[in-house]
Amino acid sequence: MEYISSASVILIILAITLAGIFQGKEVFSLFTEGAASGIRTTFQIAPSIIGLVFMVTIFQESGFSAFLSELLSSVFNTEGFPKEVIPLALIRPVSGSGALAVLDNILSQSGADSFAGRVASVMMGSTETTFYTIAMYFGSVGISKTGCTVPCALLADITGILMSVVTVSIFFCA
Amino acid sequence: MMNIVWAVMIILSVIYSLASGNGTAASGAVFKGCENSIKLLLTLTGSMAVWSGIMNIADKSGVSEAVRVFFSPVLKLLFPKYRSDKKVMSYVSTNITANLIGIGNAATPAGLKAISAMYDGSRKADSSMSVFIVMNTASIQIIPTTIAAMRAAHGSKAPMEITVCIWISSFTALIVGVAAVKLTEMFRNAGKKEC
Repeated sequence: MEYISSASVILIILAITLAGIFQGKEVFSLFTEGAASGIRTTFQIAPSIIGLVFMVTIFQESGFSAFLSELLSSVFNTEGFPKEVIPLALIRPVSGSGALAVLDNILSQSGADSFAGRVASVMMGSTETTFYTIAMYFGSVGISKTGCTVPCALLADITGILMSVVTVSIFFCA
Repeated sequence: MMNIVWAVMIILSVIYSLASGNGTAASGAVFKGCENSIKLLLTLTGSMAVWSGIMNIADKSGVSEAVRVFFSPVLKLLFPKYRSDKKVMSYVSTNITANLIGIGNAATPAGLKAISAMYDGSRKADSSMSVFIVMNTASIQIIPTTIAAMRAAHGSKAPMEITVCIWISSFTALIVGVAAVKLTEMFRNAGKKEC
């Protein structure tokens, strides 16, 4: 299954290249043209990304992130909600690599097939680095008034977090 | 909103670090943050260039068009404003396809093009943009490769067993997020101010 998934990436590249050749297109010229615009786009989103990475780094290094996790674990210390996953829920919207590190930690501490391990896996898979996504997309065109995007995206994240507990409870504990 | 989030996060972090005597580490974070962001950008530049290149071939040889036709029925409901705008619809379709098969690196350039095609120069996000971004933050993926690999590395007996749970969770999150945007829009149109 994993092989199919990783092979799909190169198969897609193969299919697209073949489609180009069959249409008689100059595929390499098209590639370089696209690549040039990709590099320009990266420069456009660079300021937003630098700003966000800066925010995430100071949030983690100051110890405030750990403090919030601690605080929330005592608040959410209810039956059925594994408190081990709270640091993941907190870091997930701001940092993808940070979230991967936290997931790795939960999997090794609690075990991959434990309740917390499964919930953490589902949570990781059903949410995104929301703030990064928003900053990147809006930063690329220079939108500062984001309307209802942030609250709506966070609502979706909270739904994903709660649903990961609910689905794992239903599928593995019933 | 991003302005507020950014400012609040930085102010609270700095105050916390000073109060807890962790000020030195927080000062170090400033420089570490600069370094991390450039590393991230370098990685991103490479993947953005390659996938934008591949995507340009797909655009010019009819592949993107085929993907657009496939997703057209659903997208017309989600983005009524752009129902006849082939350019926007094609970028949105490519972005969804890349997300579904789990190539986030390819989803980003297509998504950025979609947003730039939707942008009207007003510096304000409209509801189509919000719907599109919420779709991207719900992260619908057919096969959760990275997570399965990590579970396998930590000795899971069935690394893929959580797949259905992920589908249900992310799909519910997507519905809630999109519904929230659409409802906000309805309230706004009814003359009330929300968000």
